[in-house]
Amino acid sequence: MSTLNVNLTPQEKEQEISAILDRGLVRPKTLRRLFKDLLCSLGLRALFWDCGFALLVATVTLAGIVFLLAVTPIERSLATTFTLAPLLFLATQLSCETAERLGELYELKRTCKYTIRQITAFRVLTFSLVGVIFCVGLTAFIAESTTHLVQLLPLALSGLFLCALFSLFLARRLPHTLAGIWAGAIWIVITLTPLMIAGPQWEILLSNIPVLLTICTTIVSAALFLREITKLAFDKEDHTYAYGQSRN
Amino acid sequence: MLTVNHVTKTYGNFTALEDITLEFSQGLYALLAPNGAGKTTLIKMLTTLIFPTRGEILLDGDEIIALDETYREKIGYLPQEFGYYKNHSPRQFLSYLAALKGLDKREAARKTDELLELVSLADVRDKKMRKFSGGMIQRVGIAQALQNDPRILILDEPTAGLDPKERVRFRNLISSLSKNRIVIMSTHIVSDIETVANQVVMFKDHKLLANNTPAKICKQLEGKVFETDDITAIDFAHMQLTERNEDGHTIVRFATDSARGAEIGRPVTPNLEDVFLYIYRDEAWI
Ligand SMILES: Nc1ncnc2c1ncn2[C@@H]1O[C@H](COP(=O)(O)OP(=O)(O)OP(=O)(O)O)[C@@H](O)[C@H]1O
Ligand SMILES: [Mg+2]
Repeated sequence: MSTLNVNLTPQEKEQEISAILDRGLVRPKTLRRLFKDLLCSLGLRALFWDCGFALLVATVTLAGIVFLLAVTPIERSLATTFTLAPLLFLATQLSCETAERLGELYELKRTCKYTIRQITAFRVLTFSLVGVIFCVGLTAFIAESTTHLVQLLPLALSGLFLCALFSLFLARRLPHTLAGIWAGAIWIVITLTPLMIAGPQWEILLSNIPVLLTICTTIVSAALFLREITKLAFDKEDHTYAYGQSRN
Repeated sequence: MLTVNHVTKTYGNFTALEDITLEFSQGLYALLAPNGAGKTTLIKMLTTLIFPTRGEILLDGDEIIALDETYREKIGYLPQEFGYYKNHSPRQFLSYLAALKGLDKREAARKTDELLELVSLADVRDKKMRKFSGGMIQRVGIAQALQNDPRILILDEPTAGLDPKERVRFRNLISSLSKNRIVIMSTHIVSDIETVANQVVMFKDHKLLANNTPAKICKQLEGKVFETDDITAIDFAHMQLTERNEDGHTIVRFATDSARGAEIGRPVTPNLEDVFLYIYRDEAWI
């Protein structure tokens, strides 16, 4: 570029410079920069303020799952893993979001510099990371061998991110305060139904999915999930409907 | 300068506000209208909680929704229904909100003490808010709106629940704040703004009816408002405004177009309350 000998008239130069300045003045918004900002200026305490209820729900869910795994022999390890994988994420995220939206300060928090939408985006990401750790623990507990683990872990992770993607997708699009809860309910129904109705066949079907495919599914759904988080943080959200609901 | 440009807001097929055009520069703007007139709707659009169905709202020529956090940093907002945390003290609560507003921690702590002093809550600043009265909560809300020293202060019925003493304090506070910023407040209590508002904005039938100084708004009833202690003697079209007791007599204020008003009543200077009652009357003149 610098070797190009461009002769600009002073006028053109002026235009060029102002165009560059215009671009430079608006810092491009990236999720990484936003989250760094949030961490620096708010700190974890303010970021997870109001999450007490969610923590309680998460603990109860975790205790429930551990109890279930401890007392029942796991016959269909793949199907069980697939269903359970996103449950901790769902429980935490949904209880947190619901408590927030029903809280009386939701409106005010949407008018602050750091909006509750941006904070929610940060929380969703954190909860999904906790979900990943949970999946690792869950599959390590269930797996009988390394090969089994190699099959289970990507399946669990793909379940986690598919479900997480689905719940964000619904929550952003449905104008209902509690839209996210539907995602949880639907996930449980669509994964538990085949397990109940056709247990062995469902297990065989899952075991026939190549590991490469579950790995790809995980990567793609995680990428789409990140995109949803970005939208959650940066898209402008009109609250007309939710406002009407909060009044009733 | 904050500009509301031909803004219409509909909820489904109900039009809450229609083709509103307003300009706010420094000073106190009072949105004065009865319940359901659309004050909160306008305020929610000004705070980017809801978007105009048509039209646009601009700050110095830029769409406020596009300005995003650059705009949010400049506003202070007190919602009509102000939520709070029962188990926190005003100080904890304000320091949390200061974080959300991106304020520097040490600066915010200093400001918090100053603001709590200002709304006379300094002695209870470390008490849990669960025991607070409605008026005290409201004052926490007012303090909260001032935290970032906003260029635009937007208050939705800020005086609801305040006792007379706090009302007067609040009025003085708002009046001094409006010297160097835009203050927009909604109310249906005329006395809260009569003496301090620079401009009064009124809506009727979801449209803008008036946007003028209190004096000019009152002028439209000049020569039409009278007082009498014998309202029964009036046999021409008139509208009864307010009543008051004086030495055992009931003195009634009334408005009339009739030239005979002065025969029965004593002419008085119309005030904002007269105009409010007159504009938002719901029955025809008797
Ligand atoms: N989300 C909504 N959905 C449908 N209608 C709504 C909604 N919000 C407000 N309205 C209607 O719009 C009109 C204006 O409401 P708004 O709350 O703006 O009035 P207001 O002037 O603030 O009244 P008040 O003095 O009672 O606070 C009312 O008729 C109200 O019922
Ligand atoms: Mg209102």
